[in-house]
Amino acid sequence: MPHSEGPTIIRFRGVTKKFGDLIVLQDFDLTIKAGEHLSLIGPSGSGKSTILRILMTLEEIQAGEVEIDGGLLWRSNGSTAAMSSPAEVRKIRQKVGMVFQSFNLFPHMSALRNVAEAPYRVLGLPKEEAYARGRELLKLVGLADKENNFPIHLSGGQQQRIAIARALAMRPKILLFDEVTSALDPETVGEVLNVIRLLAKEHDFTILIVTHQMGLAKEISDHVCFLERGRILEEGPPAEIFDFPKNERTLAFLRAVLDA
Amino acid sequence: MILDLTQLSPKWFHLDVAVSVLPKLIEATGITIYVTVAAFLIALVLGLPLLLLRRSRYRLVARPVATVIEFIRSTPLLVQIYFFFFVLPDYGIVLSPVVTGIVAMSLHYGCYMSEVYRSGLDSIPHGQWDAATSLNFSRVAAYRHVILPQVVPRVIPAAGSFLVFMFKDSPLLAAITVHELMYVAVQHGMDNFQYLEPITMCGLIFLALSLGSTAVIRLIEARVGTVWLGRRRYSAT
Repeated sequence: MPHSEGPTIIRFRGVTKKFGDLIVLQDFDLTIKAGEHLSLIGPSGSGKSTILRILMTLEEIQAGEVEIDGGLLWRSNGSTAAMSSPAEVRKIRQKVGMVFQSFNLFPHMSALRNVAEAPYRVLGLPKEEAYARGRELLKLVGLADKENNFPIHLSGGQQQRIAIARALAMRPKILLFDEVTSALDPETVGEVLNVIRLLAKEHDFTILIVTHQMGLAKEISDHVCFLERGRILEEGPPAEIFDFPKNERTLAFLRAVLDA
Repeated sequence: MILDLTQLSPKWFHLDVAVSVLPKLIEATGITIYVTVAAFLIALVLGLPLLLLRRSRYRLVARPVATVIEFIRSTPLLVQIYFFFFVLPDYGIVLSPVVTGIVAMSLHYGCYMSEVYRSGLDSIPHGQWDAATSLNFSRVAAYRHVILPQVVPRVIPAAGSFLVFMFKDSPLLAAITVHELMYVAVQHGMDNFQYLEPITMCGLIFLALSLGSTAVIRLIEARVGTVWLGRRRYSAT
């Protein structure tokens, strides 16, 4: 998919995020176009995951503005930032889906109910419809035969694919993948990556990926940002970043991960 | 008499006396069970709002509730029982001894239950909240459909042991003339100067009640584990 053709769907403007005294993002700007596939790479603690968590409304910010699909999630209010009304936040949140490093499936629900619960309870779909859609999504991620299994009986790769199906069930426009393969056994990484590839190729989601899998970033993203200490040190198309990095920090980081 | 009971027991323990007080004690067991189970059920329900108030975002609510919970947990149940029995009537609230007993015990143990719920709630990984939020569950819906169904199986063992504690605390209500087991046993002792037999029987009945309630809790534990989580018992991971 060509980069930077569509309208802007996500915009960070002057965002500052602190955990106590620790500044994670300072005066951070980022613009993402609809349909873009963006990979965020960089050493741990560079603020990559925090960017996703802010978009998912899981973190508060201390200053700046965050806009998602035309709606302001955070607006500048003097030197601080103010969150929109709860109703507005829920409307914006509806457009975003997230997959977590540790899956976070609901352990007391079957695979199918994990996928169908939110459409049924939150979107208010009729139960049959929510479950029928849930079955379709399980089929999409290749787990149609596991619908009655509880997470505890599934491998990490299977759990993560169900987590992806669960996020898709809310029909988001934007998908956030937060180190989704980091907690997996090596042999199950592939099955999860295949699902992500499929979503990237055949659907028009805007996708943000935080990953240590440089292969994945290279393959499916059309834009890559290298972050360090809450700043974008270098960004560009994957061919440029991976093959001809200009910044020496980027080069050092890529050497370190590729050697590992 | 076909079987002379006095032949079977040592001289200092009169089995015939023990048998003769049994009907009275069994009647009193009904009161003990009624008061304890009623107070337990109320405490189970009461613990939840107490916890939610204590966890309120508004300090003006959370602080006083936390103080009251700590106060009630740190003072003896017997003192609270007397307090309700003698002080409430001064404010125009006149309750029967049984109702006073239920109120005092349910309040006391409700505070303990809120602590049980608190530890259950804290044992839920934060990722569950993240996932619920990411799926746009409201706070209330997240509690109801995601968090509490995971908390309940985890608190059943602790809640069950409080049921046993409550049975063992119910004799305190003898102090305000509730005709429960201990009251009836001691009353018999005073009337006939036979203490050993009724009190021994009383102890055995309490033992049976404790063992019985433990068994019931085990059953519920196993049932909740299998119903909610497939065949295998859920172990916190």
